[in-house]
Amino acid sequence: MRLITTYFLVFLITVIQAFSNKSHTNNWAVLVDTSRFWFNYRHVANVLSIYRSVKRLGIPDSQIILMIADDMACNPRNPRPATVFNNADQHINVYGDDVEVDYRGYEVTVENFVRLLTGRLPPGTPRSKQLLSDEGSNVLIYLTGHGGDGFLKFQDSEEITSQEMADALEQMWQKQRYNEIFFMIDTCQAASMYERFYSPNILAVGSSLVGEDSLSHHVDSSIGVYIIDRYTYYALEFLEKVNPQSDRSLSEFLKVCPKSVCISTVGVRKDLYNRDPSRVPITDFFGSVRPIDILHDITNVTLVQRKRAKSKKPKAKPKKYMYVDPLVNFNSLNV
Amino acid sequence: MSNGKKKTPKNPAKSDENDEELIFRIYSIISFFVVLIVIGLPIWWYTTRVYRATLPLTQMENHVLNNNSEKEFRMPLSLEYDVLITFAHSDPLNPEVRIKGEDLEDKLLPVLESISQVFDFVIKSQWLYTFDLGVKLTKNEKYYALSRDQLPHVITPLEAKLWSHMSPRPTINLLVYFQRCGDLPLYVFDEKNQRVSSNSFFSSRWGGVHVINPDEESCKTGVFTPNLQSITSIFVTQLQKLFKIDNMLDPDDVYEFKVRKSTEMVESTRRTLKSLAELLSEIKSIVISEDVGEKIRLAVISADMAKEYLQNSYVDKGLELARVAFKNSEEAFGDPSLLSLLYFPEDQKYAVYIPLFLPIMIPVFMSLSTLRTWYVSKKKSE
Repeated sequence: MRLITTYFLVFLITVIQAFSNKSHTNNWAVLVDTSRFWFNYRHVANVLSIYRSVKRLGIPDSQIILMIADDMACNPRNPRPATVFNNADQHINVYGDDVEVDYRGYEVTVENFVRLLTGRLPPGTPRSKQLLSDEGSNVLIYLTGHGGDGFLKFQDSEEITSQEMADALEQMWQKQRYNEIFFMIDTCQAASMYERFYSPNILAVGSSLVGEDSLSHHVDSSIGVYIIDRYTYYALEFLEKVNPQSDRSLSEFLKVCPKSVCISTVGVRKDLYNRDPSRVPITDFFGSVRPIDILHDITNVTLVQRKRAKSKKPKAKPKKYMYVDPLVNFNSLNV
Repeated sequence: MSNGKKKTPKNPAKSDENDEELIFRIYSIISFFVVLIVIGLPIWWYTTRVYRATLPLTQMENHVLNNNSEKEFRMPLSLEYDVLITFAHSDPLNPEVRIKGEDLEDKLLPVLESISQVFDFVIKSQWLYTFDLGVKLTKNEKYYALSRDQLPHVITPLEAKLWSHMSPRPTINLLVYFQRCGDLPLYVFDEKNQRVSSNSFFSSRWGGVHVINPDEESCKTGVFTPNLQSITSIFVTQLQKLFKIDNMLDPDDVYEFKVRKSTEMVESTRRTLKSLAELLSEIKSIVISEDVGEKIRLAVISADMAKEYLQNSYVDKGLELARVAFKNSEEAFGDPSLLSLLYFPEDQKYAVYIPLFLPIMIPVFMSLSTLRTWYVSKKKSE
């Protein structure tokens, strides 16, 4: 018994040494737009901007939880259906051609959001609607909508308070559901939402301080409403220049929106975060790079012939499937 | 007695007729007081409190946490896993590959049998046609190369196509990539730029990738039958690396693995229970129903017993109990009912009830002074 424990300890130490420089194994993103109705077009554009970036930088859809309270792309008032643009010149269509929304419309509630974070979803919830992060996950949380001092409004009917938000994150920490969290919020008085956080390893950034409004960027006259918020507009502009291999640091990202362009003051909370943001590559949160090991020595396995149960064997001849070239043109069919 | 009789007619000299009504007023004050304060308040308190079943809190908290910093590089602990075998081929008829998932399952299952006491495995297989690795391969006169730096970027785009997240269990991905004829051979290189003899790599918590180059003969005939033995060996090695077990076929290693996993499960159970106990003291609005309480008690007992069995080297029994403890602690922590008071937090309870109670309570308390004057005057009169 003692031998095993010693062996185990030695093994632990080697593993710790081997991986001490890298700390996360997978990435997750929770992106939430909490407001509906056409005049809140900009919030949908915000959340889709971040969605576009994390997806482009490599987080797979299965690890992105996207909550959108309204469907602007297919809104009858949208003059260009199936598009959501980040500016009036239609520079970037943030809707793209492949958006996988996990919670939509009236599913975007405080309850669903807190249940998602804490992992207390009703049994039978599809895996795509669950945050299956673990102690090796870096989680990006992005919230946008209408906020006030100490709360964020969900859908005109309810709100999440900063205390509830902090408690939810603490429950995540206690259950080892994250390694690090990057918390981004683009709302009015955004800084009030992260003031109460008390769990470790969280870096928080908000588009405005308490008492400040967060401002929108510009109006698209053909749409007739504000098209995107300032903070996210500049964040997207920065992220567009990042690629999966690049080594841009998080501290550069924290400075994307100086007061001269944002008008509101971007708030940052670093006291819960252990690492120096200037040494953290932005792809630690916005990308997904898995650690790789090479397989060197192969254990040779002698095959054991296993007898299948006879009843299982299909008696009918198995259907033969084959690959057929995709149909390019109907004229090529010889009918 | 006679004295008292004498006095009573004397006292209410001021309000003779009021006397009989006064006593009813007093009764009504007392009844209001009893209904509201003595019965109502406790009922209100009892029905609106956050329900918590009695828990073995000291046992839950009584646990020293170890430093688990290496944990993120193991497979996430679970009682069952999916093994998803994926055959990926960029050019399906060049050559046609003849291999069936069932055949591999038959070869893998006997090996996995050795650790099936610890975990349950579900083996699935799928084909991905016209699939490209998504990285630019460096070409040489003799071969194509997949360099060490490119390997992570092979896995990232793969994840979108594998659909491994469809299952409720964690998935171990085992991918075989067949290179098409014409672009042969494709080799994997390590950090020292040496060719990797196994032509395969793996990523902790995700799974492994194995690149197979069809031989020239098969390219001529157009039909390629891969060597099941070598694929099985690669898969088994990848699984051993993922689970950090030296040799799945060596009984000593399997024994050590069982001990380690049972210890981990007990450790995880204790950690979960401790976290829960801490949360219960931090956050007041968490509800613990009887059902959840039962699971917690079961987890506490099973974890203790498992630990005892493991210390006495009854590994199989210990493992069984560790599994029970782990399952119940996870279920208890993740139970949806813990959040049932989400919309009614403790700090807002008073904000909701005070406007309701104040208008009723003020007259009741004020009438108490009437009761007092009545009582005092009665005493005096006696």
